[in-house]
Amino acid sequence: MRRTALAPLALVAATLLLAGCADGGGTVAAPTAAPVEADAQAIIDSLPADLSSQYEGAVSTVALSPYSSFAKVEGPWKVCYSDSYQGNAWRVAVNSEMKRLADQYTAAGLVSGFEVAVSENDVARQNQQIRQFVEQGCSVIITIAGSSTGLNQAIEAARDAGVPVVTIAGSVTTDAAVNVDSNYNVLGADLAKAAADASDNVLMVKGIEGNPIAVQQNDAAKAEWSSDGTTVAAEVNGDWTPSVTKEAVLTAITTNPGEIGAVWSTGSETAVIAQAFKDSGRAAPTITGSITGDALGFWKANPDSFKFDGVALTPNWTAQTGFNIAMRILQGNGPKLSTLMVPIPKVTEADLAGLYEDCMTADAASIFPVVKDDPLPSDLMDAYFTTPGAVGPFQYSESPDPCS
Amino acid sequence: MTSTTAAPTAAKTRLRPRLRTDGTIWFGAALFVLLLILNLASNPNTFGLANLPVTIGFAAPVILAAFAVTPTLLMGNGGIDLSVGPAIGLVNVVVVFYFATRLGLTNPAVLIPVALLLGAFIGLVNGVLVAFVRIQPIVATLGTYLACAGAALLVAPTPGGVVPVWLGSFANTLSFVPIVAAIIIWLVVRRLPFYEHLMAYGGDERAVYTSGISVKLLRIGAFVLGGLFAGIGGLSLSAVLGSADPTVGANYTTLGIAAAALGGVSLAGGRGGLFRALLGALTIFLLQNLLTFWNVSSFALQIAYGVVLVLAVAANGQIGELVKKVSRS
Repeated sequence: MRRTALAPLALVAATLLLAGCADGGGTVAAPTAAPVEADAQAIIDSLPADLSSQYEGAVSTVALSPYSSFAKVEGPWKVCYSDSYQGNAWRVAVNSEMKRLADQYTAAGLVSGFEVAVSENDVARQNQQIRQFVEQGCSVIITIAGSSTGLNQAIEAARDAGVPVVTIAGSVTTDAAVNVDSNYNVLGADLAKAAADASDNVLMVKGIEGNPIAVQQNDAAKAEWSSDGTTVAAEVNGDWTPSVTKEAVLTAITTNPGEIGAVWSTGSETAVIAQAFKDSGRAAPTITGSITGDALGFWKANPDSFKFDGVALTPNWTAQTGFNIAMRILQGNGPKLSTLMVPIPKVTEADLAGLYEDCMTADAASIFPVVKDDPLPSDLMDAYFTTPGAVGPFQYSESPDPCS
Repeated sequence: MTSTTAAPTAAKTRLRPRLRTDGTIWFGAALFVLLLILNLASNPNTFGLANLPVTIGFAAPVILAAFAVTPTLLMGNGGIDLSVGPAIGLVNVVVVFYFATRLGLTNPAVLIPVALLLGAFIGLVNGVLVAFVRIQPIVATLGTYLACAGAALLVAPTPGGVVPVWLGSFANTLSFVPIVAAIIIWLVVRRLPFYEHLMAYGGDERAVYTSGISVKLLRIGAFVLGGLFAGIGGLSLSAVLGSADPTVGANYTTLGIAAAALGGVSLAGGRGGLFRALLGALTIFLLQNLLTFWNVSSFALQIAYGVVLVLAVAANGQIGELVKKVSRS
């Protein structure tokens, strides 16, 4: 036999090996995400209006929580935090607040340790980190998931080992996790409406391509504009990153000589967007997004160049709601649903003066304001649990001063 | 025909003594043993019988990415394939999101050929761009890198889909299968004239060119072989993720190249092979596993990758020179 004839044979052999070991080819694994079940819908309907309204138009999967009868875990508890990325100030601030809370609960004797792992957007590594957290004896794992589906197996393995997983800032599709989420679909539409109210020619600055939250927001905004006839002057990717956003916006401005009256964005880059328009000598548009310290600093220094209509998706309450829900689960309070929606505080130009503090300058990108009221106060959070009651010393009013 | 075989034979005789006396694997091997001991001491559970299949499953995409970059590195003359990461990612979304979930075609007799053919096709495109359009490999594969990353987002704008049960088993009970399949392909390739020509080309381009061997086909073959391994890597990644995710593949390009270099595959071509890539990939995995278990910052992990890689390449070069001197004397 000629040696060259071995090549196709090798390929066939390898294929047969792969296929031969693959048993039960016609079957598909049970879907890990459940649709909104009738029982889950009944619970949503029974929630206070401030919470039940958060589920309207939501695309996150909602099911009955597998932890509704989860027994109390004897403390003190080891809290582990798996973050998919630490490359922006918002994520760093979430991490810092999580650490502050863990220290506070350690001092109160409720927590014995706090571990952090960052996967730098490597989903396979985050899978590995979650599995290692289980082996290290973590009582609960809080995570910002790098993928809405790619961590499902590791999360299910954690559940099987008796370790609850709480996701924040974006959900996963397995109901083995407790998703502490917000309605980004409605957020995208609300911000699109605010932009359309300001102008009929809008620049669209999108988040990270492929990110499930970004896709929800983008689709909702386009649906809103298609119904009200708003024109999208340009559509660019800002990746929720200041440097990328500024470059993309500058490019869009220079290639669109017509007036752009509003910029739709959803992240924390409103200051660099305003700066880009100012640098180009263009009229200040109304910018939507999430308010930040640098945006407030820019507004203070350039009150005529910053028009804002958006929300306060701040890292402190994102960390706090996730941490508090994790504590309640360990206490055996029993979350009723697999996805617990948190209202996002709205911020308009009238609110800026109340949020501004002296340390906030136009380059204070790592400082985030603290909104006055907790978006999910303890009594409202009680509605999500079979057994009400806060756990531990947390008080929203004691949130650290942004300038401290 | 005489002229087509004489030069490779000559190249082979030049090559074989060098392989026998080549010491460039020692640093990687020593580091592997050290990291294995530290891992076993720190976290024996990960490597226990119960967890070993899952552990191999996590390592498999890195191993197969390292396999995928190896044939083009062996080719030398600037041979490199940057597209392996996004190619692995594209295979993941096409197989899981499009075929398994959207079309409902979950049979391995469909999905495995799709994965292998798609990987090989991407390799073929790279090969044609390099061999016929005469674009530098780093530029051609950067182009396909971007194209594959964009295509993955077109196929699956968001993560989703569910892997069939049989494919999910490649992340646990049958996690060794994709690696073994790739090794079988490599063992057979090693018996082919193609392998000798490839190594000879990496060692001495002019000798192979003047011997009348089709260098164009040789280069295409190297890219197709790498693409085939990327296709298998796509199956492994799909199993680990349990779904399709259009954004995760790109990481595997740098990991694959780093693993191959760490294991002693020469970036100049003509030296190394799949087992060195395997050694390098396992070493990187063990390093990652250990530092993760010790809760070392991910930034420190990146630094550790960089330091180990530079040390390995430098040490491999020094040891190689030393071995040459000893063998000459």
